[in-house]
Amino acid sequence: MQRGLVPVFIVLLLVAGAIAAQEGDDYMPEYSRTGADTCLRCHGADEEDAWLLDVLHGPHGVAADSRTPFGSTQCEACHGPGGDHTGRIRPGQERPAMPAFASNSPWSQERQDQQCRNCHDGPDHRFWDGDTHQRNDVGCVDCHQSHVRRDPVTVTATESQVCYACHAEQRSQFQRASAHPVRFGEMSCSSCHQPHGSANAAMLTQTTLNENCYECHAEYRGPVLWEHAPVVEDCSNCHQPHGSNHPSMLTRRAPLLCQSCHSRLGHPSVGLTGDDLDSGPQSAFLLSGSCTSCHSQVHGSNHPSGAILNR
Amino acid sequence: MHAQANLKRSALGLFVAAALGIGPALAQDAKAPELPDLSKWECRNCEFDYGWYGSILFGPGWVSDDFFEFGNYSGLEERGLFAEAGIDLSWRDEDGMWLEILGEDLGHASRDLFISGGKQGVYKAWLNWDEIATFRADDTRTIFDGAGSAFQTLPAGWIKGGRSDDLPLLADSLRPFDIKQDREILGIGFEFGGKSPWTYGLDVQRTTKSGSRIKGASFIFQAMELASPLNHETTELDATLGYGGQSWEMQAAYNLSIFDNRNRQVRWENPFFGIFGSDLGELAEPPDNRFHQIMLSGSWRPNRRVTLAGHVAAGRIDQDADFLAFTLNPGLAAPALPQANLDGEVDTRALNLRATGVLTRKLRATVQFKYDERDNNTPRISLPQFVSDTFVQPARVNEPYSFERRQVDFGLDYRMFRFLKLNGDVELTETQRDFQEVRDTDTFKAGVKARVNPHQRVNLTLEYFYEERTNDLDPSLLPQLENPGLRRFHFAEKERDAVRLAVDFAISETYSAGLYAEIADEDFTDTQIGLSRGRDERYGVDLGAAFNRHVHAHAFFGYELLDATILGADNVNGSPWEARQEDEFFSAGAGIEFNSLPGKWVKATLDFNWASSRGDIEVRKRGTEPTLPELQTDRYTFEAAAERKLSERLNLRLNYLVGRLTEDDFFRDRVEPATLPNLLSLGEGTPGDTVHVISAALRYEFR
Repeated sequence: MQRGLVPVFIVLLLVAGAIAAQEGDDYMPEYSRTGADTCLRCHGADEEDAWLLDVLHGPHGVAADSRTPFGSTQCEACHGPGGDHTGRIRPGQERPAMPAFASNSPWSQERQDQQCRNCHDGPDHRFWDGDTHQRNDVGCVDCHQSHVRRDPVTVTATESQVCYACHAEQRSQFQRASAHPVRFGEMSCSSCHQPHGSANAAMLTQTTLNENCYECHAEYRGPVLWEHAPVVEDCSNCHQPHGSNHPSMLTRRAPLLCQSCHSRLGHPSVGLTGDDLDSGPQSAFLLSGSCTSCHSQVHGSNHPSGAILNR
Repeated sequence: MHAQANLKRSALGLFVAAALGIGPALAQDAKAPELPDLSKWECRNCEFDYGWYGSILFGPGWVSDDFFEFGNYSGLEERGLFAEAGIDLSWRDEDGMWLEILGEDLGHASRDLFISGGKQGVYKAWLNWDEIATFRADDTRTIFDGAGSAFQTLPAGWIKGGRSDDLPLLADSLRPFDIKQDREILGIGFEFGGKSPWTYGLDVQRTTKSGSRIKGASFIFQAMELASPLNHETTELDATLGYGGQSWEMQAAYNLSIFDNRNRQVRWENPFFGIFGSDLGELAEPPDNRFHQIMLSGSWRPNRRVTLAGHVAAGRIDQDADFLAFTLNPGLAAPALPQANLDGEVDTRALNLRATGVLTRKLRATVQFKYDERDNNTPRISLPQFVSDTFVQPARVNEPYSFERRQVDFGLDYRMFRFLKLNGDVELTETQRDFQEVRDTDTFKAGVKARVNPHQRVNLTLEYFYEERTNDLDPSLLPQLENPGLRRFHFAEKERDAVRLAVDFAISETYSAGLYAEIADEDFTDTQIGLSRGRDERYGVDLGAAFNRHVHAHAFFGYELLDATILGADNVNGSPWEARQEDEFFSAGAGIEFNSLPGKWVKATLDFNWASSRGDIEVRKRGTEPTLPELQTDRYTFEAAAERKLSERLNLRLNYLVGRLTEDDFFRDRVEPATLPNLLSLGEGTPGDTVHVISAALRYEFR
């Protein structure tokens, strides 16, 4: 593709674009007459739907906070005006659905999400539009629950289970022998990723991948005297953050990992095979720490004599 | 430079385009109805819970065996009693004051506690404490006095030798030393907002890491593994000031991170005969550093169909830890250091801008420009190299590494039909680096994705992704004595293709299934030496069942294959070899959860997880392929828990867990301290054991 034509193409699309609301999004009935008292006549009374009342125990059910549903228009703050749904119907007539968050709601998913964004649209959500989750039609309620005392996706130990509903590969990867402790509930996906969208690669929380890693591994931030360039540029050149079968989440074992970039004449260039498993002098280049038994400062060295990363 | 100009032109054009697009996009939502008289909305039937709510858990537990690696992150590494303790409490009052306390595994070595509270809608404050213990090895042995400290000395009367199997006092001098770490985080913060458009936030966190890790240390022909000390402290401070308008918001943020290493170095005495008097060595520890960053970010959303968002950040890292001496060998005449410290300084800059527009009912576009830069202003110094405290080599000059990355992304989402949505993406990236044989790489990525819902119950996704990277390689800039055919994989020319298929199927109201398959091929097109090919295959299936709101079950299976080919040559002019590393991963699990049971049992869970992997390395050389043993890891856990009501507020929770972990790793299994003549190792082996954990705890409920 000619790169110069791309903006022209986009301009044409933008100028030609005629805006139309999604079907059903124009539906806007009146509010009900008495709010939640009307709703609770039918909902939350049975054992089967008693869980709905848990909304009163969580942060959405705080009447003293005028920003919350129960500080304003109660159930209809989220589900939309319920005048039609709670109004009289003729015998045999189907009761109109609430505008949002019911199985047959007329509003589009985007319009329903707007109900959440009316309150939750601060700095954490500024990159939602155009980011991976939004573009893949992930809605707020696909991850969040509001009829609970504490939303599981906001707790480190349970958050990843919510993410795995779509990201099944990552669940498998975190089962590997060497992985960040997500399966132990000590870290969560949002320790590194911003699920509400981010301007950064892979929805990372920090501006670069390395900045993300330095959040916990500040010792590798440097700068040091003798830098190892691939380390400074991108930790994932050597590490697989979602887990690996190799120690320290390395993508491959040394010496092969090192030999992917180092062919210097002498011991770095030698291909080590099963013949080097015995106790010969070559075996130290293969076994135990391999290259790092001597060149242990692979993240860089601040020693004046550490140019070859062994001091 | 041509690519750079193109990128700039594209980015400018896109943002002009986005701005033009705002005009026609100013459509309004359907008008909301007038608010009713809310004073009549009394919510008489709303049972708000004021006061305490939640539970505390406490009781004894028992671990059947010592199993060091099992304690990794679980904090249950020792046989014997432990306390099962947890807290999950919240408190609210009618005025919106609230307090939450959440603590998990408080009786384990890995535990966390989070306390937060405030007045909802006005302010909140929090305090967190998090401790993670990692247990790497308890079969490790060392001869050094002061193991795990910054100065490790030989035992009294030590007799040196030329090889590790020629150290007469080795066997008697080896003492066990466990390799383990503890990370503790203590944090405090607050946010203040209220009805004012201004918001303020402050978060301060201190992280300490202590313990030891394995580190190689060498003198030319011999190396040894040390139990190296770990004693780090990092202090982080984040302060934010935000303003929210009707359709826009802005935030200024300051981030400070101070890393403090309590050890400047690790010294050790040479247990072997030291050549030219090399009897004492010293490794530099990561130096203290500081990072400051200011970020200004914001978004403007004039209506539901247009969003402009972005951030600009500028930061500085500095490092001025005192240099160590050139050498500790008094027999080598070292000059004075040209300066006392590096005076290292790196400026970081980042800019991200994104425009998103709903163009028509069916079409949405996103454009984004990203820029990030690491501008390393560290001075260049010429320093003679006292290699391994043994001999002197000519001076070398450090190469402070800088790079700049510019990227433009275009994305279009088109809902062709109600059952078909198409996504298309193009991404252009240019990266420029210093001091490398490749100064400039251009990467083109493109992807298309189709999401099909042929039926209400079926969701099918098919994706194709292509990437091509080109560079301006100058082989003459390759480091001295490197094979001229070497192409370093992180900037080598390459092509990558990936295809992915995923299907989600709601079999019935109760049962659902999902499966995925993904294959990616990577070909380093210009590589004669180095990583030349890679392949990644992933397959998986997920099953779920929701028998009712209280009973859920799940099962999954995943398989992944990672295959890489590395080319090498023993000599620059010949003796080529080809290595292939193949890693296979299998994982599976199943579980069922009952949140309501008949009688006095109130909940129960069963959960099984299994993971296994195989690693094969083949190195073909001079027509032969002497085999290397297979790498294996196998692990499973099975956990059963049940809770029974004893009285209105008191429950008994019973828990049983069995875990097994075995590994075969010839890199470590074959190496005892004196196995390799030129390496005195710590003798770390691989784990292999089974452990059972039981606990019986009382849960007291507040409501």
